[in-house]
Amino acid sequence: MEPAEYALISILVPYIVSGIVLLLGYLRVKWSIIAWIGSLSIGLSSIASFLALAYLHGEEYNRVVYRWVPGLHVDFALRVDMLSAIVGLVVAVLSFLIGLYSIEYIGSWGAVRYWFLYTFFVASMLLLVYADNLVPLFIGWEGTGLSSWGLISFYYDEREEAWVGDPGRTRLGIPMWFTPTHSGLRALGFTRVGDMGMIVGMGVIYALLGTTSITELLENSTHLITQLGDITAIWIILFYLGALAKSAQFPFHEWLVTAMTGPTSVSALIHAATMVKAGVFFALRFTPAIALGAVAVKGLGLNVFEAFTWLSLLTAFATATMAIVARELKLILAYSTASQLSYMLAAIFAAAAAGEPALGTLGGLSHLVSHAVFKAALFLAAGAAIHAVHSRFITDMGQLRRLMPLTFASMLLAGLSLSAIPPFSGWWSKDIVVHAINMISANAALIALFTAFLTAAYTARMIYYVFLWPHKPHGHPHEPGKLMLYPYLVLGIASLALGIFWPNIEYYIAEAATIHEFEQIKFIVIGGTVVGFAGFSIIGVYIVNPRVFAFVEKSTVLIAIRDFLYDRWLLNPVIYRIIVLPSYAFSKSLYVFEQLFDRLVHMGTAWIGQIAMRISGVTELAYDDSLHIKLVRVASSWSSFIRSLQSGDIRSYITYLISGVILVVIITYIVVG
Amino acid sequence: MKNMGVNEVYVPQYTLWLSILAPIVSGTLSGLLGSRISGKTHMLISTISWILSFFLVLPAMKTVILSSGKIIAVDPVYALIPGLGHFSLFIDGISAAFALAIILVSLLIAIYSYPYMEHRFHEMGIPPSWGTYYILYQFFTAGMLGAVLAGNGILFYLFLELTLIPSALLIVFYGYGERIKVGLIYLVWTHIGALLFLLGLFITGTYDFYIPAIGYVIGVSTALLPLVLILIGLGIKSSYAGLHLWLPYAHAEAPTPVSALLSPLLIGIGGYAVIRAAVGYFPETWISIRPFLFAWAIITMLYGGFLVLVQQDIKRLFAYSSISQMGYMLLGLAVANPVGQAGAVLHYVVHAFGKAILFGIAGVFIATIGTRSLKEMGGLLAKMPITAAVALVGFMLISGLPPTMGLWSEVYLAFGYAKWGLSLGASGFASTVIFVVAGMTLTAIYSFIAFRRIFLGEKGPRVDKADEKHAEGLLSPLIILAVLGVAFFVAIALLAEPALYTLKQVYLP
Repeated sequence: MEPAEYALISILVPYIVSGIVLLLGYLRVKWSIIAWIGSLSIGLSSIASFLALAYLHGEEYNRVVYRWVPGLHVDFALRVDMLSAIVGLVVAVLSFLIGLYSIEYIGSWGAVRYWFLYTFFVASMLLLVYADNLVPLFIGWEGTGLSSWGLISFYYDEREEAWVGDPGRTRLGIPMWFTPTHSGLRALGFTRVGDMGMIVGMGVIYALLGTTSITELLENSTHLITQLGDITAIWIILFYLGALAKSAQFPFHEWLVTAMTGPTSVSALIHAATMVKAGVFFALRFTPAIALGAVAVKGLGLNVFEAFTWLSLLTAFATATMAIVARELKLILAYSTASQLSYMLAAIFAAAAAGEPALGTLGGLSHLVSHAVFKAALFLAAGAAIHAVHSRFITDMGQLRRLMPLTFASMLLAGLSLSAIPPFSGWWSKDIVVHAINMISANAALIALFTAFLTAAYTARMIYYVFLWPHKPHGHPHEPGKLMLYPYLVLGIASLALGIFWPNIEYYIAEAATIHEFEQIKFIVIGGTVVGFAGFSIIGVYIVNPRVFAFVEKSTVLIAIRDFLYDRWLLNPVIYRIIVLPSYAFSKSLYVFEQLFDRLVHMGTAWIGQIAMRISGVTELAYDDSLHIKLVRVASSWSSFIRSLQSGDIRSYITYLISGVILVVIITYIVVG
Repeated sequence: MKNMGVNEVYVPQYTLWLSILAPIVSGTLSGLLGSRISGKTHMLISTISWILSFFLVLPAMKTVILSSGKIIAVDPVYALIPGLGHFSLFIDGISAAFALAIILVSLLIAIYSYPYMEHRFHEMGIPPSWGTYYILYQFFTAGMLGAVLAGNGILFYLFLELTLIPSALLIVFYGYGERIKVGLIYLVWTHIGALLFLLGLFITGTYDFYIPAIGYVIGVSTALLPLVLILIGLGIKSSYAGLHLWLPYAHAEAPTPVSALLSPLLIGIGGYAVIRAAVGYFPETWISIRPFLFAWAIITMLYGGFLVLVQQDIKRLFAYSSISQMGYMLLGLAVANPVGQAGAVLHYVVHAFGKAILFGIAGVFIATIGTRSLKEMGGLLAKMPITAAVALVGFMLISGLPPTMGLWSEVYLAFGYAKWGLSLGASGFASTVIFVVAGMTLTAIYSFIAFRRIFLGEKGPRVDKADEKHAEGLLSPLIILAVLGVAFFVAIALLAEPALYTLKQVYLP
């Protein structure tokens, strides 16, 4: 079988199983059977996507094409190349491990809904990764959006333990806590804006190139940019808008952080394996070709990529500062995801803006792979911790090191990788990322390094509070069951193993990036290592003095800064104040207008009708009067006059006769004479 | 007159005429038998008549679809009316999609009507008048089928008039609220619309859309006045912004099965006739007023969409959503390229399935928990999972989410717009695309807000009464509609290819 056919299997199996899950649910089959079928189907996908990678054999790409809608040149086409093969494998394997974890974590409540959405989600993600046509890519893309909505809103009864934020807290009059279904709506709404930009951007490609094939697009990017001319910048923004929204770039990151209302397994799925990686994958897929096309056309549009780079750096920095002060374990990880995604995108965009996109692919893809592994481990371990203490706040945890040693080990391994400590995978990949960012300016690289420092610091703070803090945790924490424990233990160890064998792995990634020579910059390697260690050393400070940051509480300025960070730079209330609430107010006033308009037209018509009736009443009466009364009266008076002439008196008759004769003579005289 | 790239084939004599006649005959039968047969028998007669109608149309439709629109199926029986042209029936790539949607939805809603009207008669405290209901239902739906098969504008008008009185009477007899007033509002508005359309045709002096053995009638005039009259006339039917005032009344207060026909099926026929009589007769003028049409489409999308957000009555909510959806159709028509207009054709079918499902769901609520108010809903998912799943497919259809065919109409519309937008230059493109994106985003947002308010979140006061076990009769036809909406996602080429080809070859070469 061809690699692309394996890819097809890896997509179709979970899609079909999602249908089967619904059917089994309708037949009231036991939840555990449904759960096993769901997660094992993704195991099959993993095997298929492994085979797709294994059988690629150095081919540039391998495709299968099935005709679908010839009129629009849309095929159901899949393309396995190094890029999609690597990402597909990462997606499938991680989703499989998270799936195993979910069996126990989710249990029976909502199992049918969960497994339907889960398998549909993974299938959609694999479709968008392997797609060789813009429309199937868009279908997978929208599929992930839909299923993420369902999974984020999973606890639709709005149970309080699933909320994000502190209940009762408001800023600028806007509530700062979020229930599951509210968050689901936010995820859908925020990403939807981007998706609609993206589909119009795809329409532009179709209009200019007459194709929706991705392979053809990649080969004809110069032609495309030439045709676009001065529309290039607008087109790039539109086309990438979906990716920016999905991958949580400022200000779209708002949906991602509140998405933590979903079950923790869903957070892991969305943040590590699917959904948010879709935007990064999109950028990896298209940016090299578009950037090279732009370079060929006098650099048209490259400034957009530069602007994107700064946007990503802003996101990376902003979300890292929020993570420093967050109190909710999952929220810290969510900020971290937004921050790390921005690293990947910044690398891709910076290299593109500099005209050497291959290095960006190397950095972005490397970090995507290493982040996927350690972030999945972090989330799953976090889920176990939250489950154990029945609280989402790190301030309710502490001392879990003794009670949950394996969870601690997994989280530490993954956390060290996130902090970019050598020799973990995060250290390698972050180094390439910063290298790529350095291509647009040294200042950008410095921001990236500073953010890396913050990253290590918040990671250390998080691990400290959960596992080391001398505070009695809530409840009676203990390690979870094996089905939950092993997936994240494996992933934690994998983050170390990936680092140890990184040079071998990088070989494949380099092939995907079509880059063969890559020289590290000493300054960046050393700088990256130093900031990693420096940031993580904060854990030592905490151990020495747990109340080391108590001084913040004494300064109003510091409290204000902390609250500003805690409230996510007040972006959410600002968005609600300038977009959400005004839209609602607009709807309301529009409805008032509508009712007035309605009344005006219908009452107005009725009023005109009444006037017409009144006028016609008057005219009708007069007409009636003249016809039926006045005319009759005239006729009768005329007849009585005539009658009075016929008196029977002979003299009168003679008088009439003479008058008549005279009249005749006069008339004759006038007429003839 | 041209027939480039399309060939004509005659279907067996009378088949298309009979496909319209079948429901009329069954309706007449219902009316004559009245209460001598049970409601269920009435329903069965109507259902069978629609199945019959489907099979009568099938050969023609197969020919058109399998040839991807290259062959047009014409009923060899037609009348040449002096001065008014050829009263013929035909199916081409465009009417195939419309006719299919009308037949399928009419069939399924006929089944849905039975349990619903049983509830309605009971609620109104009147003896069941099945005969009256089904005669009106069948005349109404048959008129719609006739309208989209008609090869002549006058014939189209006559069929449209056939829909009018029965549908108005259905509102007056079985509607809610001030149903007599509402029926009157509906009657007067849409009748004026039909008359304006007719007046436009008279001024044009051309009545045939298609002449058997000769071909399409395209590009007969460049005058503005008749086009404007036709557009306003059909605009009232399709309830474009400003001409929409009758719609929220009629669609909210009509008996629910009738809402499920009025909203998705009837109003979109205005869009169908725009292709035949406006784009077809006045192609150059149509292209020259594109910016105006585009603006009107955007206003309609946003106006309807924003009003959805503040509705508390579920049927009014769907009614305003229909206005917004007609904006989608107008958007596709406005950009005046084959891809965009094919998007409008597909969107008719999408909306037909989606909105029929949603109004059907509103009926489920009326029949089970006895309320239309969103304030009394919330948290219904726990008690009504199947209802929620079906409703979700309805919302997905209108918001264009996979795996429903709504995704495709959205793709066609967006692609169609993109092609036109590119011709506007950088600033023109940038300033128009914002509105397209906003309009299309709004649909998804209001849909999922509505879904949340109905099914998710805190449990509303009516949750305890909720139970879908007794609503199976109402839900089954809706489930079939949902399956169709998903099936056509895969098999979209069946509808899209013929429509695109016809528009490319005939209307917008």
